[in-house]
Parts: sequence; structure tokens; C-alpha cells
Amino acid sequence: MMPAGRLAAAVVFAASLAAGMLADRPPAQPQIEIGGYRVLAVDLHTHSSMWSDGALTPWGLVLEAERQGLDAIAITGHNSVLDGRLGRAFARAASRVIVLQGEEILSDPDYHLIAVGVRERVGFGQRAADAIDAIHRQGGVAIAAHPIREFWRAYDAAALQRLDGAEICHPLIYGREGVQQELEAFAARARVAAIGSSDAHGVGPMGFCRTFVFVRDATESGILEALRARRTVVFGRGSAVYGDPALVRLAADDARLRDGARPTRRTGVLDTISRIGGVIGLAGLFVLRGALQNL
Amino acid sequence: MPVSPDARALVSPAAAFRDLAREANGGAWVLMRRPLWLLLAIGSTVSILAGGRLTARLVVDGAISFAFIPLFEIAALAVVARRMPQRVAFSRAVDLLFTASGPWIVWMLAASAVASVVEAEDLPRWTAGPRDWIVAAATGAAILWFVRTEFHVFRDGLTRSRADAARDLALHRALAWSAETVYFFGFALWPMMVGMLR
Repeated sequence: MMPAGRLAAAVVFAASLAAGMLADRPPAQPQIEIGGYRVLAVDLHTHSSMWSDGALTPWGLVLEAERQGLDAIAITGHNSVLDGRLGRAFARAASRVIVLQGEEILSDPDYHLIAVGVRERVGFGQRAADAIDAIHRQGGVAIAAHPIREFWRAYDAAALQRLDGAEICHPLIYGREGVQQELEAFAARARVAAIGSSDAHGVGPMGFCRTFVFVRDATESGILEALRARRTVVFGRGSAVYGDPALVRLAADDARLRDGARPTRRTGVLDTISRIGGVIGLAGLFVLRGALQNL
Repeated sequence: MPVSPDARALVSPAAAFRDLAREANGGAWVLMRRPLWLLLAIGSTVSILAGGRLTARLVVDGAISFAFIPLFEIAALAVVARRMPQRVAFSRAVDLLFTASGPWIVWMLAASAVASVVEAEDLPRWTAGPRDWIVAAATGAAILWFVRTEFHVFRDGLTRSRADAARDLALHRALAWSAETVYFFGFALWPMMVGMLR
């Protein structure tokens, strides 16, 4: 029989799990149309646990994207498109979320480049401009990933001319002073789509920074076309709004977008109970002697 | 209140592993129980950090994502065990090995506790900002604590001499951590290494 202390810990853990599962429902996802375009909430930079040091499986990313109110994600494996392929197949079979196959080309220490909508892996050992050309040849879109100052040298005039987008909202802006200014300065050097991405690795919510993409049709090709045409809006830190000036004017005061720009986590009482109760229950199960040792 | 052997191994590992070694050998449940417990702890941490709530969907997904850790740990132990006299069943050796996971459980509990109370906007300050040194220091402490605890698995749990226990530990860590690093970082590892060498 399980001792009372450990039994109590097990009950606390189970109750926390139940509270979390009650809260774990996808939010209502009203269709938003502005200026004649359908507006999609998109996260174009996510990593899975399939060799890309993420914490969720490719299908886990898709399910989490639903919970975070996202319409589409790109799964961008580190120098790999395998997890994107898996996530896309899962989404087509079992989810409303559109998954774009992607890759984060790590060419350290020169640049990190997001390729969205590619079918095959793009090699890392080449100039940024050549990598962007390789992405375009596959019909994909090239986005500078967190282009902080140390990556600027790789983006010469040829690369900047070819680039489709640049991350201007990224969790790093909340972590380090000066990063926001560096991302803004980079975006000002080229005519690129404003991109907000969570670079989700499993610490912090997916869609924490997200891109509102103004599409003609809500499909993979519709999203890629809108990115190429720079039809994006990103809500940044504080009251900052970036993107196509005409669309920013239409979207900046739209509460549906402004409120939707934040991830839907840790908001409710059940979430708080599940987190704190879960830690207490787990600690109790670890510290107190009980059934695990007696079996 | 009685304390678990896992928690006791954190503070007095020699005595804890000597006592555990005297318990009955083997069996499928003995082989699986602590690896599964570690996966439950990992899955729960992933759920709280990634989703902001404890939910079966994320606990299971996190456990699947990190199932490679117990698998590589057990595979590495199988290699190390070939150097040892067969005093205990392999399932018992696995159980002893995973009893040494306490420092990582403490690390995960601390990470989950922090993530439970800070706002989403503040999390990057812990991972890539002014507080990342706290995470780095805690990880360093967990590694040292874990290595010390695992040394006693070989020394006191599996009754090896000090020198043999140190060699077993070094071999086990080299095999398991190398395999886990290659699996986890995957295709990113090669360009990272090229970048570091340039």
C-alpha cells in the first residue's frame, strides 16, 4: 500500500494534470478579413525534437500551434527538412493548421537563414546570397533569422537584394538589451517583409512573436505569395507595429490582431493550478518514499 | 516522513546505494520503473515550459521527444557492464543507475517552478539574457552533483573498486553523453563544429 505522503503527492499531481487538461483546448478561431485580405496568424520559425534541439515532436508542434491560436507554422529543422515533412503530413491528416515545410540553414558563424516552402535541404556551406537563390529555385521564401549585429556581415548587397523577409520580433528582444534596435536596423537596410517568430525550442510558448500574413487564399501557396509581396504585420514589444505601411494603418488598432498577437498560455486559473500543483506533486513523488521503491 | 532512496542518494549516496544493492534483484518492472519515472519528470517539465500548463498531451509528447536519453543511458550501461563481474542482474543495475538521476530531477523541478511563476515575456531573460548565468550555473552544479552520485552507483551499488568505478563512470558518461549530444543537436552539430573551428 502506498504511504499517505506519497499518495497525497500522487493525488496533487493527478489533480494538476486534470486541471491542465480541462484548460487545454484550442481557442475559438474567428476568421479575420481586413482590406480585402484574409489575415492568418503564422509562426515561421519552430523546431522539433527530431534532431533540432526542440522539445516537442513534429506532430506535437502542430497540436500546440492549434492551442496557441495559430493558423499556420513552418517547421524549420536545423539544416534538415525531415521534421517539416513529417509535421506537414500529420497536419494534412489531422489538423486545421497549415504546415509549411522549412529549414533553418545554420552557417555558423556567418548567418542563420530560414527557408520556408522548400522541398529539399539547402546546403549550409555557401554565401547567404547563393543560399537565398537556392531557396528561390525551389519556390521558397528566404527570411533572415534573428539578424543581430554579428550576422550582418554575411548579408552583403547581393543577399539583401534577394532576401524576402527578416525577423523583427523574436524572443531575444525580451532577453537582451539592444537586440530590438539591431533587428530594426537590419530591416531598414532592405525591402523585406516584417516577420515575428518564436524560434520555438520548447522553452516559452510557440507563437510568442507571430506574423500576421495578409493572404488572398488560406493555403501554403497563398502564404508564400503574401510573404513575397511583403503583406505582413507584426506586433512587437510595447506598442510597436511593423510591416507594410498601408496594412499597418489598417491593422494597428484592430483589437482582434493586437490581442491575438499574444500567446494563449498561463492565462487562466486552471493553468496556474496545473503548473504550480504539478511542480508540488512531482516534488512530493520524488522525495517521499512509496510504491515505486516497494514494488 | 520516510524519504525515498532517490532523494537520499542526493545527500548520502554511498549509504543509499549500499542499501539499494541489498534489495532483491531483477524483473521487468525493476528495469522500467525509474526510466519511466525520469520520462514522466521530463515530460512534465516540457509541458510546463512549452505549454504553460501540465497536460497529458504535452507530457507524453515531451516523454517521446526525450526517450532517447534513457535508451542511450541503458545502452551505454550495457557496454560498461560487459567489463564487470556479474554480481547483480542487469535490470537491477539499470534501476541503480537511474536512482542517480536526482540532480536532474531537482534541476527540472527548479526550472518548472521558475517557469510557473514568471511571465512569458520574462522567460527569454533566463535563457538568453541577464539571468542566463543562473541557468548555466545550475546546470553546471547539476552535472557535478550527478557525476558524484553516479560514481557511487558503480562504487557502492555495483561494488566496484574506486579505480574501476571511476573508469566505469568515465566510459559510461563518454558513451551516453556523446550519443545524446549527437542525437539532440543532430544536423546542426556539423556546421556548429565547422563554425567553431573557423
